[in-house]
Amino acid sequence: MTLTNLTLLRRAVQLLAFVFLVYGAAVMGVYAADKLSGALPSLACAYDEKGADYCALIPLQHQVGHGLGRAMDSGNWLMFFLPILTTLGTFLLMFVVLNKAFCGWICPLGFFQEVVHLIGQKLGLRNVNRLSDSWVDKLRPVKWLMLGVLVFGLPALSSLGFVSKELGDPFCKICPSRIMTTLVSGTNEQLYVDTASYPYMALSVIGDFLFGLMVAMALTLRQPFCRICPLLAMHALFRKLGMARLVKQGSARCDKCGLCAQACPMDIRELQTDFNDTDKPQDITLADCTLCGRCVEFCPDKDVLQIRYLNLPLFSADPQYFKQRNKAQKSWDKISITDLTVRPVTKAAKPGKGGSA
Amino acid sequence: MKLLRTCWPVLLALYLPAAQAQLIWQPVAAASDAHRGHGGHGKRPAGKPFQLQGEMSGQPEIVLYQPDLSSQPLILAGNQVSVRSTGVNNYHALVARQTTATTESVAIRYVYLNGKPSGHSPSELLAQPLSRLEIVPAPLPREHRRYESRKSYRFEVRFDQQLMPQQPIMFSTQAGTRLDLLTDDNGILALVLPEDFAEIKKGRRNNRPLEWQLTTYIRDQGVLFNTSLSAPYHPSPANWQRYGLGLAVAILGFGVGLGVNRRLPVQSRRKAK
Ligand code: SF4
Ligand code: SF4
Ligand code: SF4
Repeated sequence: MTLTNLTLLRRAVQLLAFVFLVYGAAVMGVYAADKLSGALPSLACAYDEKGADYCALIPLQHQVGHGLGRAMDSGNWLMFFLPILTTLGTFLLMFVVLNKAFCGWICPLGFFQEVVHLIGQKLGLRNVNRLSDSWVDKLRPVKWLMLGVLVFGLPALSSLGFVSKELGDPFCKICPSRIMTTLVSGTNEQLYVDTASYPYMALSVIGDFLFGLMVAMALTLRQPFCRICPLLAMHALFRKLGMARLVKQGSARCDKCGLCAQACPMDIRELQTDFNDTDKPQDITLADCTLCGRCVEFCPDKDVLQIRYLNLPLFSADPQYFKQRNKAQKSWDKISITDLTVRPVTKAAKPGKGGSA
Repeated sequence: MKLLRTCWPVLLALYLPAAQAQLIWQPVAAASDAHRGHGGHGKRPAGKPFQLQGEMSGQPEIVLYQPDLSSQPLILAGNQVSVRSTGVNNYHALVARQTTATTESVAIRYVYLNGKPSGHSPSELLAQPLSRLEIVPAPLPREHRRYESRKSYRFEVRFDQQLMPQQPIMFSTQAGTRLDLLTDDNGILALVLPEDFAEIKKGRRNNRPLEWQLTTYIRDQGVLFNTSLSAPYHPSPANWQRYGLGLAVAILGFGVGLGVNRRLPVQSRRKAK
């Protein structure tokens, strides 16, 4: 059977993963001990009691936030490192299987942003298909800051008593997945302003604001939160261990084409510019890649881009597929419920084309 | 009020028909901080001390069930027992049983102990029959959660592993709330924990928990079975978390996002032909 639309297949997988990860407690059980792993490489949320699993960031924050101070006091470093290594080990056991596809294929928050973007496009809102290179460059380090400061730094400082205990799990406090997953599972208990203390109030206000900002921006821009997500940074650290890879063997034609980079929801321009003069396929699973495969779909040149599993081609660029896919995309882009397009305020901007099915 | 808080299990035991000889687990007052469940971190006492309230004729049998369902006997010192870490984390069941020719009295308390991951779900412990008549949480608050006021919880009443429809149950709290309840036709009791704290301070860590308990009894072939389930509960976070404000801030974020969207220029990687 020939695959005619990878994105449709991906959406089906995302939908199943979403239902399982957000509502799967019905099959898995409600307790943390019942969950699939407790260290998932996707932002499935521990605050969602109906979920089947939760992300690795919550145990990491707690293990650093509670363990470091205790280890300093007692000198028992094994008690500090053992839980962290267990979490990282569990994370890696899963991560090597799918690599960054945990973002493009599994993550409930990634899927949610894609759905919101679809809604925005079908409502006829303008489509900012990509950010400028300078904005992409400014945003890229933010995910590392989020990982370093919010997942490890502040919990460590809180554990050592340098900052208040309220900063023991700061990323969870601002994480949009916490609000999104609990809202879709039927409760508003995570959409609040906490008046218990100033740090809690500040974190809850940032979290609520970020959630609203993400929803609005996703209507127009693809994957706005993913660009600063600390889990994306953690994936980037271990991406060389993954069995799934994006590879490229480009040519001089790539310099003029750029369809792959145009298709990429994460604005990875290196897709077009790197490895255009190479005699064998090179790993181009870059730090921001989510292994969604759109670049491969929209590459018109035979086998220039491939998704490989254990170095075996799983899905390759193909002129025939490209033609078909491009046609399907154009028909899809024409479907619109209403036209709410608002002209951009900057002079240089022109209304965007579709391309985000 | 203070007297009521200290003596309430005794008053409750007096209220019940004398023949019931109800046993109830209570935390030892001075160490109530140790009861904060999984949320309380920091230095811990060597064990969690509990006392068994009620009329005791002789030495009741005390058993601690671990998450893997293995069990160990504990010895009462006076009416107290210290539940020490078993090396594994998650809920354990502390069970006291006193049997005479005509009565069987049981007190059950689910205690969260820290340690290495047990690899067992609390649902295994809840499925394990601990006595002929028992009140079983369905479910227990998840790890990292705790019983909170204003929230609804469900309990099953089982006798010989059969659910007991329309079974009378008494609910009471340390703050003086007392309710006479019935299980539904399926043997399930749904209960919203009352917010009967005399004073609520803002913040999860700033309030001491109070105790609630459920008791029930049944007569079968001349034997009176009675059982109790007790646990701590905490003020609802709704006392310091403002949901309307949360929504307002999210709407503000949404509005700012729409504004930012308008300012984003459309870019293209493709060179103009
Ligand atoms: S709040 Fe975010 S980081 Fe924390 S458990 Fe939920 S998804 Fe993971
Ligand atoms: S980068 Fe996006 S898809 Fe990946 S974990 Fe974060 S939110 Fe999910
Ligand atoms: S580089 Fe390709 S696979 Fe990776 S995110 Fe961009 S389009 Fe998806």
